[in-house]
Amino acid sequence: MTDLHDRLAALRVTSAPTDEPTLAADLRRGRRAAARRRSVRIATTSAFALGIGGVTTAVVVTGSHSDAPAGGVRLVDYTGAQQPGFTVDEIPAGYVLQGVQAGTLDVALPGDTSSLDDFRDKIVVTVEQASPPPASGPQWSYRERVRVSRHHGGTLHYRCPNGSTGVIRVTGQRLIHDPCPGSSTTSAPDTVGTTIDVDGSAGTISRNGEGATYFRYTSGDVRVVIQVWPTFGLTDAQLREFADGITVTPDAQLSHG
Amino acid sequence: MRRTHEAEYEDFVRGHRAELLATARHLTGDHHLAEDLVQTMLTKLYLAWPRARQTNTGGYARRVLVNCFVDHRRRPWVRREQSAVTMPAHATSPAPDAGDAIDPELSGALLELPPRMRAAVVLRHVEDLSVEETARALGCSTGNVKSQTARGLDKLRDLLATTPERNHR
Repeated sequence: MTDLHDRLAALRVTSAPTDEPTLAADLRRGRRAAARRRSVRIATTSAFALGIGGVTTAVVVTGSHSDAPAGGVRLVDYTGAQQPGFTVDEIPAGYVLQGVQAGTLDVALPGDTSSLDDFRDKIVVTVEQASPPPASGPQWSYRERVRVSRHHGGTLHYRCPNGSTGVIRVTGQRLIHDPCPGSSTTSAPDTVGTTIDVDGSAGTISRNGEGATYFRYTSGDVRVVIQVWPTFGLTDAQLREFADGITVTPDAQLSHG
Repeated sequence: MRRTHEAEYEDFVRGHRAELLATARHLTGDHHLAEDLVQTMLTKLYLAWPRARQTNTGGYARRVLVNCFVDHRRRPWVRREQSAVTMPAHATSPAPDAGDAIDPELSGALLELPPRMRAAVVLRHVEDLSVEETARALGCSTGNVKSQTARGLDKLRDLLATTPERNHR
């Protein structure tokens, strides 16, 4: 009885675009629900922490949150002030956004007064140009990956993976390279780990000879590099989750590293 | 939610809300309830967007919608009829229900089907989804979809065959 099929098909309504006020209302409801869920999570976490605090006077807790490795950190929703160029949804528990400088966002412990160029015991998010512009003039290549932090005249000061400072001086056509103090110019190469999807694009996790973790991925037309100090103990899944919560806003400056 | 994700969510809602609302109206036969279900579904979709965007988002949204519909029907406090001591002071203008203007007889018969059977018939024959897509939306096997739609169509034929007789009484 095809007549019934035809009659059912005739009930189909041609899709019309949704008007903006309805769309705005849907978005508002979604945002409110997300905020409610965030509040509940925070309240639950706080209550849980209070409960554990009372019990641990007599009992040593050996278990850990499923998301957190033993001795590692746990990601929580970030509710503090955002920094220019970035929005951050999640952050390791107990940490804050220390500040932004030239396309670099530092995540550090509260009260950390070290320079934003000092990456020790921090997570550092760097925004770079996704594809470098065609170079003109002499080309320099470096035997180790460096991050330039300042440019004063013809001298480039860069931050080494071990936290110390190296210098490159450019005099005429000569390149004078003072390598990182205490490090070898033939440092261990990065070890490439798993490839992970972030924001629809493939990201790569690697670790250098000092144990620092680098997560590189492309977000829109910029390249994001997240550098995690070895002492953090973030798992790859946590690093992906942290990266998933980072949005590079249009006012972000590009790093010159 | 990340800004890029929210932009994707907006695009999805802008393009698919009307058809999801139409599906909800076929399922419920009630414009206001359909709007409620779609709003609930879209809120759940917003919360689950990082996961939903990585799959067949339309199918995911329909599945959430059907679950909202079935859950609503299961709620013990949901009353199908409401009694009142006095007549309402003003007549309410009926909302335009899906299919009423096109085929009120068939829309009425659809409402006689059990919820999941109705959902199978609506998704398969009104929304023209494949058996596999319907199975994904309902969270059941393709065999179950086939049997539900076959029984649903049989029941619709029976109902439609008796409708003229009832109308003439």
